[in-house]
Amino acid sequence: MNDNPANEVTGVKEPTKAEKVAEAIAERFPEAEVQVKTNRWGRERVWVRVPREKYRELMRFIKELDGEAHYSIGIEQDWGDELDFLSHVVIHYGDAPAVSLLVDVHAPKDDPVIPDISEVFPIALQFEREGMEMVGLDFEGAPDKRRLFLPDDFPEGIYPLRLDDKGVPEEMVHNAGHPYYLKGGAKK
Amino acid sequence: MSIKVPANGGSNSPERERLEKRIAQLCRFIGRSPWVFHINSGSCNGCDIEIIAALTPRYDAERFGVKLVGSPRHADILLVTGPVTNQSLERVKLVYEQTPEPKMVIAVGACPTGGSVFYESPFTNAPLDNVIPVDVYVPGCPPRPEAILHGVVLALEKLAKILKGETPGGDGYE
Amino acid sequence: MTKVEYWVKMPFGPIHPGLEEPEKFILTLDGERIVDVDVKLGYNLRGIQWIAFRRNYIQIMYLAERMCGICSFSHNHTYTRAVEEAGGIEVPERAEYIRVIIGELERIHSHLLNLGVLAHDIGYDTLLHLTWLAREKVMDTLEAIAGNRVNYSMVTIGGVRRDIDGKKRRIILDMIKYYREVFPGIEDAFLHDPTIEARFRDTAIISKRVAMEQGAVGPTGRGSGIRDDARWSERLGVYPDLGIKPVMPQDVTGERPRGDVFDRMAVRIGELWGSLELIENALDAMPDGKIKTFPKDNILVAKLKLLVDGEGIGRYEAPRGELVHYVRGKKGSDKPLRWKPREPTFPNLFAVAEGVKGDQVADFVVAVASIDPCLSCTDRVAVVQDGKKKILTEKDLLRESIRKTREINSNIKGDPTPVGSSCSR
Repeated sequence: MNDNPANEVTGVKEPTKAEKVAEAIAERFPEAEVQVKTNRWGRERVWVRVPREKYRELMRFIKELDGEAHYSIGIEQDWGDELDFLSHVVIHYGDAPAVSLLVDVHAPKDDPVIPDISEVFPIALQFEREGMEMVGLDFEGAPDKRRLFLPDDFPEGIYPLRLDDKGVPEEMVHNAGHPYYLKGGAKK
Repeated sequence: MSIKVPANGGSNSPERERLEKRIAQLCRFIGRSPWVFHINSGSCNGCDIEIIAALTPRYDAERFGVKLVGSPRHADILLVTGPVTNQSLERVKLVYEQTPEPKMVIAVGACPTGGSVFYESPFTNAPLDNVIPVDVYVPGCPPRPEAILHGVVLALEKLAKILKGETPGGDGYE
Repeated sequence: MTKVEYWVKMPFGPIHPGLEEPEKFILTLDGERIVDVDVKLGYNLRGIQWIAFRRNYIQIMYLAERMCGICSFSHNHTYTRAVEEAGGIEVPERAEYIRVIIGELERIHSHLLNLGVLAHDIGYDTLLHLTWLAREKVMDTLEAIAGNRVNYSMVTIGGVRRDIDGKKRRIILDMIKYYREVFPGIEDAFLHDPTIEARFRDTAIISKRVAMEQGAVGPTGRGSGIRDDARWSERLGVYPDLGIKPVMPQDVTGERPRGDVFDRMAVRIGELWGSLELIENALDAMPDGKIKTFPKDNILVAKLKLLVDGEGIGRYEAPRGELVHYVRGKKGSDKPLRWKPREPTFPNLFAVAEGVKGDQVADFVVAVASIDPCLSCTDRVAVVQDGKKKILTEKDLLRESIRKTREINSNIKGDPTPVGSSCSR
């Protein structure tokens, strides 16, 4: 597990696959913030943060980089004043350390619109449907905007994973009589 | 191909033999083998695989005729797993109503007993006895197959008592 | 298109296989042929991500474990990896080897389970009972090592909880010896039985293109020819040292991958052998040393509060495919601000929903079981559709499925008597 060279030590090292990808993205999209982070056991990940106008274009570019790119997860989350959709894409997995690429796109809460990328990665649509119902993102041009997980009779306007007042209100919380559960959720 | 039941591992403990004898006795008293319908109300599958494990050759509840059936109308015993999620709430009630009297409800696992780790979730309705009457609780996360068999024995004993008229059975008992 | 009038919509589900992703399929049928499949999820929605807002790092380990009873180690392990990445926590080398061993034991039990279910779904209950009987051995081993048959709680952040000492090592070696005798029989029954071949070959073909579009992972993706295995492509832990390689269907059947049910099954059989080898290698190479970075949980909580600052991704190959967990934490908070898992069944379901189009409705059970969406497909009620109450059981579909096997069985020259001896009742 230590054969990944300790990079950024000297300039003479051959750039790793991840660094090459990061460089290609940074060159094509100057407005994107690209950084390569290495964790404790030497695994590199490329973190890309793009403005939402360039999001779809970047995804197309990733698909160009590797036609077999694998979209593995879309994560919707609430950052307080912004909503965020983070995608993890695995590319160049033909030989051992694949490039792990994270694409981050933010949208303000009063205008939570992010372009839909299901024409590039069809599976992304399902993660977008989850994002729509869970934090209230809106994916512009998504072909299917029905709910995926939440029941159909779940109240409109409540997004369970929002941290503000649009989240699950305290009176909806159940309590199965757990002794350690002290506040709220008095419904037995 | 020869797959042998491993002899070690306490699989033929006296406890287990006692259980098996008791099931056989009770089945004879009731006059039929109990059929089981399994409702999954949002369980994590841990209890469910243990229920199936109780039916497959190692534990082999099927030799008493305890078998999983495909419709609640054929069942004597309902095995309920899972913390009763919102979407399965109505379904659990529906299945309970469809099961013919006298019926026994066994709550298998920690989730229908007390919510397990999901106790505060807004999407679950955890203790099963808020939804339907429960006769036997089998705690554990997940319970071992022996524990599930033991739960079946307890349910059968209660069923035998109801048949003898010692305990009022049916809908209005609680 | 006047033909549209003859199409029938049939609900199939809802809580079909009961893990964290039970699903309802709405099949559009043209006679016996499946025209369209719509997937509705959420019948098992327990709000795990919401609950996680109220739990700290340690408590979430147990929450993650209870997402799925079959791959409980995988979820726990992947979550732990994500936290370790976010916090920059080292894992002792011995702990890495123990993680490999438990992970591969879990893979054996999960694959045997799925093989049994596949056999059950075509009405081949002899094989179900044989594989499940063989599976009890690995369950015993897991119980001896971890103390529980299903939720093992072996992993903790920065190590593992229990060591594998000499006695446990002997139990594992004994198990390997047992499986070396038993697996050839199972492999023979599944790969060379004419009935199984007739039902599984060219059923629910997921082409490589569809698999890629829908992001299929694990045996489903590899069965369709995507050469990826998260343990290998992530260079996870000590797996590269143990000689991990993705198992492709051509390694098992000798033919190029076609992406049908048979290939997915063949990959699982290949991985059973691979897992045995990995366990053996890991037992040989396991160094001495400590198994935890932080000896006590209260120290761990305090350390995590200081260490975890930022985001972490955990990737691991669960028995069903690539599993991804994401954790974001902040310094000074004892709980993660966001935790999101993605289960391998999620993309695989949409892949198989594409793949099964054009097949017969009798193949649907087999197709869904072939991605291993978790066992409990044995019996399910369903569904109120269009206001009409209708009880549709798994049994009905199973009956159809068995009937089809019988039809095939009379045509082919196969011997309808089951392969292998009977269960030793």
